[in-house]
Amino acid sequence: MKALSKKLAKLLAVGVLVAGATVGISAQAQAADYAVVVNAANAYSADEADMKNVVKRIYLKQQTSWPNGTEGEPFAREDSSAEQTAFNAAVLGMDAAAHSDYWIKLKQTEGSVAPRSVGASSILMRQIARKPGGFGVVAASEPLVDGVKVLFKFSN
Amino acid sequence: MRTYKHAQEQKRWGKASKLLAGCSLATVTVLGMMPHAFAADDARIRELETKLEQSVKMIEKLSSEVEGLKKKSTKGYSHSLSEDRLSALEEQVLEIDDRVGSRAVAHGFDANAIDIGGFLHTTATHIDANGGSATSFDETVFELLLKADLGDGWSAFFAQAFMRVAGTTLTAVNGGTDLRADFGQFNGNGGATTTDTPIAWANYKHNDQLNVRIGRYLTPAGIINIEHFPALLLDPEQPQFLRPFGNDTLLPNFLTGVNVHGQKFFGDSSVKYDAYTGNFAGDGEKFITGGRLAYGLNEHGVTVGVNGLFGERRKDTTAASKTDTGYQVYGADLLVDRGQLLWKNEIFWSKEDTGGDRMGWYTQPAWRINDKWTGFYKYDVLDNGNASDADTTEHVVGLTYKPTRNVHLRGIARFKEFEAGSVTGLTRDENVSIYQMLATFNF
Repeated sequence: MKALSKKLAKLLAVGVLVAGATVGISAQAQAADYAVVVNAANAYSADEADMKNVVKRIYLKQQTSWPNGTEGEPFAREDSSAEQTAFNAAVLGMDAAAHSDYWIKLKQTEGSVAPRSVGASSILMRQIARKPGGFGVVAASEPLVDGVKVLFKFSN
Repeated sequence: MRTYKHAQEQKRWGKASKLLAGCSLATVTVLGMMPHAFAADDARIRELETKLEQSVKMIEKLSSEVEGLKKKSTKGYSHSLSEDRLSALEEQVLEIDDRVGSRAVAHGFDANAIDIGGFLHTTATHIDANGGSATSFDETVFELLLKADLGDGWSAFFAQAFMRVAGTTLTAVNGGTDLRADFGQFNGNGGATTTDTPIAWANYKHNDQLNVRIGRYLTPAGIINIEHFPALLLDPEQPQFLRPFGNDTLLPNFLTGVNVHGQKFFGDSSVKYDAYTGNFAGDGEKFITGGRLAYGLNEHGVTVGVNGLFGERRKDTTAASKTDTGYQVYGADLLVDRGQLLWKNEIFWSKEDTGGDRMGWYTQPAWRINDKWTGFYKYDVLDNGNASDADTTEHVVGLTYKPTRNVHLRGIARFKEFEAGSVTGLTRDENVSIYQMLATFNF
């Protein structure tokens, strides 16, 4: 009986450990689902809240340049993609409808259009690598191409 | 991947060659032993014959495998290598073909880039009035928008409108106790389509804080006059103080002149300014000068604006000498755009050198039910400064539906209250109800 209890206790401990590790791993994965990537030569750095604000303003064409003076060149992802949906929610603070309304407003009053959307992450990163002020969002698990670095990571 | 595949192929080649050589040797050995076999018994001969037969079969089999490998190395191997790349390229070509096809690609002459858009807006209206009702598909507007990037911070933006609008008139009847509604000819011009260029400006952007705009622009005052376009508005009928459209009941909708503007961010808040001077369409001689300062608490979705402008209204060309028509307008606005709540508020009042002072204000709370449906209410008051000091008040209830992002459908009920004297000849307070179905299609 005592042996059985010991076995059960061991099993329980192992189970708890495994569950803990799984939860930990999944939380870690969730904490870095997506990444905003920029040209590797872009030296801009600040705390995460400031970086999100700057990225938001440049993306929404409220601000032209990065704080270091480099002209911002935002790229979007396809409207229905997981990356764009997460970016809208976590960085822009907009749902799909608000995002669409925003660009209709800017188009009608200023003639400005939304950033060009790029489907494939690899093509997006190659574009960013060619443009000093370029940036866009990719899944955090995507391997980076040369000339691109992560500005910050976020989860939805 | 490529290296691994190649190594595998080489390995198979080597194996096949070794086996072939081995079998050849075995065959030669067996054949060499044949003379001695005559001395052996029949069983041994049969065994050797069987072995020989097996060896021949093995040689044939190996030869066939070697041929197969040779073929694979010249055709299939290179195909498998480029298959992924080819299908990726094919996808891209298909996508481009889907967008362009056999159509010509537009060129923007000397502009770096040109964007073209626009909208179609159409309205059906029923006016329920005690002195006589009226119904009409009263308004169709097609507007083209065009933006050109001229390079080095310069850009130009145009809006060209083509309108068919049946004007509405309300007349006091039955001894001034009732109002009668009538739709007139489209554009009051025998039905001809009229055109207007509400926007035609060039903009120089020095940086985010300093832009200079020259040409015809929307007077940057308040909230709704800046948003202006029906696709953006819950109620495309602008507040009373901005009607009739293109006029200057309180302030002009448009000006032709110069507008200096910019914005600066401070942490999560922003300050936006506009300073402008220009001529109102109703009188090319009179100048209007003004400004707007807006402070945005972006995290909270709140923007507060203060406005001021001064100038002169149109001259009376029948008067013996030029009269003073100076006026000053002051205004404030508050926009709350937070979550499902969208709440717009504006108030403007004027000091007139000639005639009564004017005041107009509205409050318009709206609730985004979901990403397609929005409900709103607007309370809108105008004192247009006429001698009777009578106000007109509107209660507007509306439901808007966006089946897709480029289609905006609305059902609106507007209840107007006219004080006695607010319409010529009206001797008592009177109400009129207006029901509208509106659709805006933008692209």
